[in-house]
Amino acid sequence: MAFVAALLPNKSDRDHLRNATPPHQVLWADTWRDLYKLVRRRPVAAVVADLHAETRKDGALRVFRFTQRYPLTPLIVWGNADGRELFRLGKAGATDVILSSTADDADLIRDVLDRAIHRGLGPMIEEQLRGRIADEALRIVRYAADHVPDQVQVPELAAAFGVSVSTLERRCERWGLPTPGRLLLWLRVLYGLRWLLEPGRSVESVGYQLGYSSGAAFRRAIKATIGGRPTPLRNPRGFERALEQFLSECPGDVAATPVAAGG
Amino acid sequence: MARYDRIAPLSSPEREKAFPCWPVLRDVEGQDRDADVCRRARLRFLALRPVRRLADGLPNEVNADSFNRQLDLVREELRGLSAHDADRVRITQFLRQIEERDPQRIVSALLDFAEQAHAAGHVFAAHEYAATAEDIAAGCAAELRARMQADDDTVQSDPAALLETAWNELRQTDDVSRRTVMLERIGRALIGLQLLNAAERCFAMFTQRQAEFPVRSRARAAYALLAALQERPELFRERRAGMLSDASEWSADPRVAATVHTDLAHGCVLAGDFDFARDHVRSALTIARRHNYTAPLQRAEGILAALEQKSELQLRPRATSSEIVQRIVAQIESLDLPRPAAS
Repeated sequence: MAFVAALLPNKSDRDHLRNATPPHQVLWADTWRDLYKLVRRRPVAAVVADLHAETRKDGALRVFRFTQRYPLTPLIVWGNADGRELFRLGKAGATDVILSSTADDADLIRDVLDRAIHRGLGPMIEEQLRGRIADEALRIVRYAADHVPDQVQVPELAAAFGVSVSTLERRCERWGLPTPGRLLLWLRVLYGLRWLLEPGRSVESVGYQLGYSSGAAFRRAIKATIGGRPTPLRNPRGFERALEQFLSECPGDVAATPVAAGG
Repeated sequence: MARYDRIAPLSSPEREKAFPCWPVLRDVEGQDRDADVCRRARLRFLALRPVRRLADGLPNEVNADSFNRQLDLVREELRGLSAHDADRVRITQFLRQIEERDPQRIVSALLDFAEQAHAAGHVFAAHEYAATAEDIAAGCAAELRARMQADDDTVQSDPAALLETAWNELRQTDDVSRRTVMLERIGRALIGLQLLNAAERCFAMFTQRQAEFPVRSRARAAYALLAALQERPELFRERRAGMLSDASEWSADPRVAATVHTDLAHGCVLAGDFDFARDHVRSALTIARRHNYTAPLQRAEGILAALEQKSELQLRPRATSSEIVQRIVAQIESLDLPRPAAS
């Protein structure tokens, strides 16, 4: 389950999106300003915005400004866009479009949303770890990465794979992964650092989005993993270094074979 | 919407960073205020979107009803074009080929469409369709993409090779629009080889055929340049004036405009009209730099260098003639073509 922030003034459009989003949850905004606020405060995985949400305003320009502030947050544009607007939306950095003529096609909307949501950190980490750790271990890491924005905890992670916490800990050790707790800590830090690459976010808001009680708690998490402060890490190189450090804590054991449940 | 557009001048995102199928729309670059051009580009974009869905996942994962609805919506929009409109015919045929969702038919439809779109001057659409085919079946579009890339570079360093390729394709294809494109290319290659009489005959034949504006404008510009190379400055000026009075046919399409300005700049230098040459070369450089067109940029820079040195000698093509070239020229001579008018 992920959060999708949406700015759709038209009621029928809201209904169409609502029908297509489960299991994801929609957070509604009334204006672009509201939308910015939602993205800053909640762990939003994707944004949907009506191209003509504000009359007499250039929707593509609004999209451009959003993508400048939040370049890593997928923005799906909804509405009736002609050829010129589609061309401009691509230049403005829109992640995808849902045209009004297809707005009642729940399958299509779901496809577009899923593709946007799964462009995040999860696939990136999965790609880096593929071949280094066993497939089952990879599935757990991917699940954890996909659910970090939902503030997943170790017992939920274990339950999702039908094992106890202690079994999960043993398996992680066997697979050459950090303990489940440390794995989640690392993933939160990586998520946070990636979010911090967006100029529109602050350390405080990212900490809050990741479930920390304050920005200070998030800073402590960074210190416990990378060993520094977040601000100097607000650049692509900082994120890459953090990812390298995380990977060095996942030496893996490709010889490991899947074990029976409870083993 | 503000009269000054802050988005259009932005550089285009790379394919991987743009939304699915967006590169198709790059053909409207520089013409995005032309409603008809945009409508047609949108149709090419919409036609490719359902295929992109299939390419991103397994064909069976895409809901059949949803897929068919996407096709129906494109068909509905196509009704806005005349029944004989080339774009409508092309896209309708494409939709018919993909509706069964058979991967092999889809790939062949994509490649056919890419080839036709390229011949019609929709270069970005052609490359995107070919790239989508490649995403579905790796390697299937390699040859076509290489050919399209070579076509994009038109008369480059080896006009003899270009002449041979274009001549072979001209003889093999039955597609009328493709034959017209090949004729233009053969004419240019012959200019590059300084076989001016053969080039003249080729362009004379071209003028008897129907061609889409981009191809026609490029051919007319090359025909004007030919007059300058034949040391007929008055004829060059006449043809150049004709091009300028029909500027609406070519100025909106940056790819064509860059080629036309480069040809006219080249011709102006040879005719001794240096001020006009400067204007054309400036326009060509601006367009080529803005849209990153390597071939016209290199040519325009060569012309600028010649202009600065006030030397038209380096702009004259060097005469080279291989056995193959001579054979092709002999075959062109043997064709029943209109003879060039006496100067």
